Amino acid sequence: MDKQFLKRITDAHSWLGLIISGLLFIIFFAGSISLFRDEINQWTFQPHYEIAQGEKLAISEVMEKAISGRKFDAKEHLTLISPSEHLPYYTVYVDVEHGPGEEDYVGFFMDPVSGKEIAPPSDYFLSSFIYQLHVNLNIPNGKYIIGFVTLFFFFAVISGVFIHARKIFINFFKYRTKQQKRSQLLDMHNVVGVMSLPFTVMYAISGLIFNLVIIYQIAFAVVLYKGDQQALLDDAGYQAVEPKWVDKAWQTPNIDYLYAQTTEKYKAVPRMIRMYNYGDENAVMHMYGQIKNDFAQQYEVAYNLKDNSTFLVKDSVDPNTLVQGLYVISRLHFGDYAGVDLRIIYFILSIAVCGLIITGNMLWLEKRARQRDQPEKTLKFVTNFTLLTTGGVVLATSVAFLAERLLPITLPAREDYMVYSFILSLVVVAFSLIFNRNKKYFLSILLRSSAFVLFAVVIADWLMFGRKGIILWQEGVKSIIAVEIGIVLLSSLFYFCSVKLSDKKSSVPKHNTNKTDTVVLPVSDSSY
Amino acid sequence: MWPKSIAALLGGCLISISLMLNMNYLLPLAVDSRLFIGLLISFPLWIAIMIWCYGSKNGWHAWKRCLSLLLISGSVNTFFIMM
Repeated sequence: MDKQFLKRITDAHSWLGLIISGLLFIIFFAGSISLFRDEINQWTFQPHYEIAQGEKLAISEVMEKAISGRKFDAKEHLTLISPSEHLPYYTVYVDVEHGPGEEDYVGFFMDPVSGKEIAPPSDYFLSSFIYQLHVNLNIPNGKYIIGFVTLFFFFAVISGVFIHARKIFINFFKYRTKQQKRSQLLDMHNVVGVMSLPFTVMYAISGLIFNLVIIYQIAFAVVLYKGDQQALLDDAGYQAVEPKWVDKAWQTPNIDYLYAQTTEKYKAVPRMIRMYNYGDENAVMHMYGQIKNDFAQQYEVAYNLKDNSTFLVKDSVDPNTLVQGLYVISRLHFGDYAGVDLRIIYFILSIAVCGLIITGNMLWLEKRARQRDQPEKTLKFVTNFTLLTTGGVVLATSVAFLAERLLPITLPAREDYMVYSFILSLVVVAFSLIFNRNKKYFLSILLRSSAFVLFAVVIADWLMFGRKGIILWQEGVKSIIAVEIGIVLLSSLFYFCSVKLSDKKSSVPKHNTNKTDTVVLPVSDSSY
Repeated sequence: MWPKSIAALLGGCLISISLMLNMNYLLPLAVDSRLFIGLLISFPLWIAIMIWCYGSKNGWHAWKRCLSLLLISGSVNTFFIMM
């Protein structure tokens, strides 16, 4: 390969990598935690509530209880998400009549046995907050920012392959632990990059499809469909359900029968049920679910309640390639097509990519510090930026976990306080960077603090809900203790890394070969 | 690096859209399959153009490469749209 081409690509790789590194770390770190968001969600709320025992209400009764006593806007929707392994309650969203600026829906968990309202889902916001951080950084239009970060990440992955191509097999397991620090960093960067390659390519493509598909959607709608967006959506398999309100009361709709029929047909309870024009003659019942025993197959059916006729049906009999394909991509992205062991592998790979990002920045800093071709201020800024967006984010997330556990459930807007704890931790880390004299030592302090905070989370958990956790375990709810084990393991990992970082002996090369890295490394690699 | 980046982002995006539109006209498949294949290939194509742009000598060189490819692909687009 042309050396000049490789040099330019390497420059772009390190330049773009450095620019996106902060946000990319947040995406991967929050994403790796979000792999267990259902378990974390159950860990946050379940110790506060009992799991109801007894016969579950019929779906029609659940609907009646959901709208009872509320200003339900029947011309809009009533949405139910069925109870699942990690959330044994219905999640209900009722669209309500509202004034300007008021919330247009009410959301709450509902006991499937008694129909009692339990709590608003927003009270237990931790897992959603971390997931939103991964998806859109919790900011308006963050989705598109994440999309472009993912685009540059994809470029970094592919350009990394070009840079490392000549040595991809020879150096596959090369890790020079006894060499100079720069060689160690470069080896770690390369080994993680090569080993996680299929995983990172899959994440990059799926992430781009989720976040930047709008670009192609607009282009296709304008050119191929002459501006008819609905025609494009129809071809793409997204059929709108918009029945007209006729203002006549319905006559004994067969809601329970249609629900049971759908469950029987697909051998799976609908994951989501949405009612349109509830109570009207022209009401429609819309259901989505996953077809069991099939990899990435889902169904979508809607019935006219007037005569039980089918409004739409999409399943494995007549699939839409785009819908099915996107569903496969989403299952691959979230790693939920197999057991928890697969998600643990995903988690390890994601955390390894976090390490890849940090080593990339360290390589850039090491090289610029050695070459002395960058102003001191730039190096200081990059160092502090790296510390804030890596160690700072890790510490802030740990504090958010502790806040989630300690904040009383009766506290109004408790979710806001949890978010404030995250932001405040980041601000404190940012200010403390003023006193940073040694980046390794500072990172080690941040990781050690995170380890202690996470350990405190588990202690608080046992002091507050120790007995409840054991009872839940006996009732088959393993998430609480499993999340605690996960937190302890993560805390131990952070502590171990912190000890290694603060270990002065490890930073001194044991065998100084008196060779510079430029001699040891291939031309392309040395250009980092 | 900024001029190359603008060419890589904008040029890459336009070329990948243009090539996807051509592919959509040419592939003898059902419309949903064409849309899905287009979606899968579009982003890797964009990245390929980005690599090409960043591998250029400078921003002007990157734009020259992009525009030459866009001219060819755009002509094919025009042909299909006029048909």
